[in-house]
Amino acid sequence: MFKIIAITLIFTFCFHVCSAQDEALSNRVANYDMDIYLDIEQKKLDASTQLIWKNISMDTITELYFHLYYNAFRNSESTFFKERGVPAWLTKDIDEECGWGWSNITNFKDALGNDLTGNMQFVHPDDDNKDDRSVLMVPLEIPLLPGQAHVFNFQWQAKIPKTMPRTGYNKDFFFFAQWFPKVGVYEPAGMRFSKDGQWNCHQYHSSGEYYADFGNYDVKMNVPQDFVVASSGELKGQTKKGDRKTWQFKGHDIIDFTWTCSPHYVINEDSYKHTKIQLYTYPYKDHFKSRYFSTIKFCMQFLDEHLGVYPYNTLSIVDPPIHGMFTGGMEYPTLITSLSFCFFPKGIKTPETLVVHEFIHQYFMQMVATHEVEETWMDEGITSYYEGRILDAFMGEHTSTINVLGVKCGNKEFNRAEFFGSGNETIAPNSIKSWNYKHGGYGDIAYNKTALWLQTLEGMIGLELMDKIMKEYFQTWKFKHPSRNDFIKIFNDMVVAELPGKFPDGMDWYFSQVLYGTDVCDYKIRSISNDENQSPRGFLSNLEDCSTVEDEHKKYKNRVVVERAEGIKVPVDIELTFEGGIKKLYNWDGQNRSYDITLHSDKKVINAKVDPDFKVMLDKNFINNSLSREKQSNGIKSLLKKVMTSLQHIMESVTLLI
Amino acid sequence: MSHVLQSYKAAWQFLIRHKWIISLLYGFNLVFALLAIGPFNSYIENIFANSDTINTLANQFDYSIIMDVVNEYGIGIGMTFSALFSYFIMYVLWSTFATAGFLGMYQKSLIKGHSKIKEFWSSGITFFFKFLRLNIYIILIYVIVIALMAVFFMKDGLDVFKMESEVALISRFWMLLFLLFVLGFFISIFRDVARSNIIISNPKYIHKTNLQSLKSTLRLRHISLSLINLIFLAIICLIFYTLKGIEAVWLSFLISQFYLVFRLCYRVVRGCSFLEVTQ
Ligand SMILES: [Zn+2]
Repeated sequence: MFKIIAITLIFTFCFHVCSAQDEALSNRVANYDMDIYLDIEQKKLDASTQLIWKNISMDTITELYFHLYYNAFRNSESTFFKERGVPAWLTKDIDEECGWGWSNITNFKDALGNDLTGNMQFVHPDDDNKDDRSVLMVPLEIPLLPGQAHVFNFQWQAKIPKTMPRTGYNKDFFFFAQWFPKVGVYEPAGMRFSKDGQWNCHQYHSSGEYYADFGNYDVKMNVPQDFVVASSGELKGQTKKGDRKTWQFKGHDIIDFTWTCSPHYVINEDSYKHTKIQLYTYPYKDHFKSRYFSTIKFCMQFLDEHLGVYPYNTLSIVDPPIHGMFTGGMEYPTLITSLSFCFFPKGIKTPETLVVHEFIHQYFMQMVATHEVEETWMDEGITSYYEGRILDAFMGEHTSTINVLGVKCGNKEFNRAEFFGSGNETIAPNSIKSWNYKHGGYGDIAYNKTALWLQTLEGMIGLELMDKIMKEYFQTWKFKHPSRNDFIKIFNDMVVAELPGKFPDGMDWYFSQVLYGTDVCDYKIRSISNDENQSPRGFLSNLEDCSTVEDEHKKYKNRVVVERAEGIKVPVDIELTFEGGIKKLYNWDGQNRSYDITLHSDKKVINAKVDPDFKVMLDKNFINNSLSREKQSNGIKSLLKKVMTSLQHIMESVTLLI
Repeated sequence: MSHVLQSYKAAWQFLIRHKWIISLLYGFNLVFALLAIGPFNSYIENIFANSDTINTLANQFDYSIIMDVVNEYGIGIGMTFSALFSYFIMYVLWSTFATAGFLGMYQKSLIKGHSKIKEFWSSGITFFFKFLRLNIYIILIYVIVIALMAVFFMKDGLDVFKMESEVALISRFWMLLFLLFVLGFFISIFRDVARSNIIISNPKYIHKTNLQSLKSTLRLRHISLSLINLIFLAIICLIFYTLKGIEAVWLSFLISQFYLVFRLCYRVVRGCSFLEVTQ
């Protein structure tokens, strides 16, 4: 009886706490109240957490699963390092200063004070690596019934690792990402791929980071007084005591919480609509602030218009110092990291690219909270797709990645070149889990290939419909956990509704190739011929008159052969240019290995192009997309002139020296 | 100073009297460039001749297209570049010969008051190997200087995680670059003085002459003559830079050819003026 009363109290209490906040954007399953003490001498965190966890399923929950990410850095035997290998530079640092890290829960109690510490055990659901301690299971004394929320209190400590991927310390720079014991996601039957209710709490792998429930965070960090803290959420207060200062941040409806501190941060501020944008940088990199602010505001406006509003009041951009570059280029809720070096000229667009890429993640993985480990492409790939669109819109096509000393390259083209230059085009399909890219290709496929097939998809269904579908996808799935099936379903439904004539059966045929297949794509013009037309002759109309029917308008038999040189099949446009400049557009479903357009006309075909507008960005070779009867001598001459004069001057320059 | 200016003026007068030297140097530069570009031309034609990509490239060169070329037609690249490199080496050898040729010819004209074309060829033959050896020494000097600079540049290591910031590294880089220019300035003076001394005394072995040249490198007249020559080079570079934006293909080609001609003039005038001032 006591238990029933107590649990009812807990539930009521929790319900009160959770609903006392401003209007909830999410289901707020996992809510954290944390007190953190940073010991900069010992490189340790001393912390206590109060977790309020809500069971939103119809199942009774008998245990909780936690990520103890810092245990991935406990030693070289963790799954993280088994997969990645310990890089030489890490070993050197680790040996000098013992830079390994760990996370340890010292005391775990439920709301009734039951000590659950003794029941805790590490589990290794992914690879059975007994030396991996990145997932902890906590069996409960009091099960959580459907709809209940329970309070859990635990004390924990962490040894901060040195210069580990994405997190740790170096000198007096501290960055805390994947740093606190964080509850996994309970997936009820029917959610994503879950057939029965189950915990989804993967070990910490070398690639892929996120999957977590939404919740509210109230975090107090006690740090040395001269340290400046940048954090997820909004700053709610600072209190000084002796030589220490406590910073309190609150974040709502977010899936993670990250913070950083250093005595050297300088803060610059700007805003976009209701959002205060703060740039935390080092003094010698302060000159990048206008580049950051103009880019981020353009990006926020673009996504606001194309997908939906960024609902948070703050956005912090952190540009770490060179010795903290292991934390650069990362995305966390309401806090992103970029990376710049003070000597970057304007034409090197790395700061812009990173800040745009990481901000897009606020939409894809933070608000649309997909599973980065299981379906990396759903956040990294979609993000890369928008990265190209936004940077091209902001800085112009063909100049949005590099535009320095006459060397120009656009973001989309750069990503395409990266993919086709990787040698990993066919090494794995896009649908596998992050740790299954055992032989490479994780970034090439999850990031670049996805961006390319989304650009190709945009080319097939049109930009307008693409935008409409992506907006619908975002609005439907924000603050939820969609899987690829949910993404595909929205595409299928909307494409069938909007383009019934073109794609009556939806787009499954396409997703099956680009998501589950490993084929590449190459359409080429194989040949052009313009033979003298053979006029109809012989006994044409009866058995007596042997005749020839001349037709002035059918002087030539034009024949253009198009070839599908690789596996991927997509419909393509074919543009023929006739003598006199007349152009005609044809369409081929792209299914067979080859296809011909045969015509009878009074003019020769002088040029043929397959995919003339380069809509099929997945095509690995654009050079063979067109074929001319005549040599393109003007273009060649112009290129050769440039190369030759450069060569002449280079040759003469050497004689200047010797 | 008037001697320096006089030497500079005399070098120009010599060049104007023997315009064919420039024609010859330009002609060889053009021929070597055409020869070097030959394999590149057929390689490019083979890939692009009937594709529209080449026209797109001419208007808007996106460097990512290089990846399409490398991926799909990469086999020929190595051969094309090795052919290019071999013509490049031949051009350096020719330039060494030509410099020996026009300096020897100028020396004759300083002595006799006139000179003949055949003296260009005979001086080229006489001094070619001596100049070549000098070139090798100068390359060695550059290698040593750059190696020392690299050592100094990396004196605190290049481990980014050990750096407080990249500012120190960048300032060091700019400082070393400036130092390299300054050293390059003096190495060039040494080279011109050494060449002049070789031409004047035609020694059997050049070591002694080089040592003597090294001692006189820092003389004011040499420094001021080098500065005058560099001012001329800077002016023509500046003019070319301001005309660089011209879009018309043929016009920009012509402008760059004129620029090259002036650079060749710089080479001849510099060498000759040093020869006279070293007498
Ligand atoms: Zn990303």
